[in-house]
Amino acid sequence: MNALEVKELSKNYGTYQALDNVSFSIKKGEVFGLLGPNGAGKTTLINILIGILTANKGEVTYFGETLNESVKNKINVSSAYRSVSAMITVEQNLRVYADIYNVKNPEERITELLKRFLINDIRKKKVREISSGQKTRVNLCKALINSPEILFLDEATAGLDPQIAKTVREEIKKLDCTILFTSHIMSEVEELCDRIAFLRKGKIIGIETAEHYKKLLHKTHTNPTLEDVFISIAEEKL
Amino acid sequence: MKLHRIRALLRKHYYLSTAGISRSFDMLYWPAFGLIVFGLTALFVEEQGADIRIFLIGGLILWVVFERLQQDINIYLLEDFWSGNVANEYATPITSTERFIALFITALIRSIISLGLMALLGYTLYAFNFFNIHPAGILYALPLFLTAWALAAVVAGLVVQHGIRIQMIAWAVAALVQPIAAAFYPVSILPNWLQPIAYMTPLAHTFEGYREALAGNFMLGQLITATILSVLFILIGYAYFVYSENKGKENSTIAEN
Repeated sequence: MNALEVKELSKNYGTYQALDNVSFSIKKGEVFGLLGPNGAGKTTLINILIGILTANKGEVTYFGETLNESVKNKINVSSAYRSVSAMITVEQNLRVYADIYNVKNPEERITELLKRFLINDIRKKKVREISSGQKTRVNLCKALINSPEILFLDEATAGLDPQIAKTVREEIKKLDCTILFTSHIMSEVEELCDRIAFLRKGKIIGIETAEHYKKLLHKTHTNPTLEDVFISIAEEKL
Repeated sequence: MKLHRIRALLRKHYYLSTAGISRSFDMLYWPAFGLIVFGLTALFVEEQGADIRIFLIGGLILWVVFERLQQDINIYLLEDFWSGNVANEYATPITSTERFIALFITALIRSIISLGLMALLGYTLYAFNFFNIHPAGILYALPLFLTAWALAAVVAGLVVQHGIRIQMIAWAVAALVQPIAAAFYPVSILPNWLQPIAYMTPLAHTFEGYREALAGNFMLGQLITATILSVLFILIGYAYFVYSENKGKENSTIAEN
């Protein structure tokens, strides 16, 4: 059974078509990349998948079920575009989310996550007082608080310095869950993702491995990179 | 509905309440400020011959409780908009009902604290005993709380549906209904055409009934009318809130915050 199955998903805002008949599936345990230029529909798609945006058409199932309370307990999200509550501390925020998901031994879980992402020292700081890189890691802790079975990471490593980004990537690799991952850092996508879907103007252009995409450019590029593929797709040359 | 999720939201509200002085300030300062100003006004008018403490001080205490309750519910929701935490929280299993109940409980606790402070100040400064009423008069708290909750639900719905750009309505809405609430004067003072409209709201029945209770009279019919109307209001408010959440998910207001 697929962890996530998306069938003919469409979303429009008035006459603007943000998503157009998007279909794909993600296997259990797979890290699935979602790439595309700005405005391609990546965030719209993730918003629909986590249940905060309604699609105009299509169906999404998670382990065979449509989105319900039980499914929502098994998924989580971290996005560069969102924050937790700014007025309270890192630890308090995580405690609230631990309660929401009824996490057993919340204090232990919070400490474990803060240590894994190297931010245990800021646990007593209010979120508005910490740096954007630290906020990104707090978001990741929030996203892992319920040990999700499906994790949505929407540019979840944005704003991290290379050393911390490496640590975060190592942590992501260790996760035992299905991941849908978006990023504008191509090397990161290549390192982490089993398969990659390219979105352009709301449509899926292809779903392949990074190696397969790169082979498509062998005629025109010497040692093509995923970034070359990205640019070619964005410029509609592929 | 899961109690642990309501507990989670209550915990967040508690953290926000104790995170800085501003949250205590609006619970304590503004009620005290209002009472002092209106109390002095009442003393002045009383010197002119009429005892209107019941109208002004009693009405003000009740009004501030109503206003605080409505505003607190809305401000705790707005806190999530200001932080960019709305989408994060809507991605969790928390339901509309759980969010609705948690906001009300937090606001209710804060309103009761405000009420206690104002009752104490009223007694100390103006020898006005808020609780020196017909024992059944305390029941008017029910329609008062329910109506504040209903109004807050409509405002919350508007914010969830249309976004933070209309947040000022959270502070303005109580003032909008104040003229027909009869908080500081009897409904009979309103123009004839406005009186039936005032009586279609639970507030006019609540304030008139409370004043009667202060005079030692308990009017059961008025309490029942106020309660029925307030239950009707809360049902409408809740239905609109749920409708707005769905609209907010369609038009991306929730996803963008």
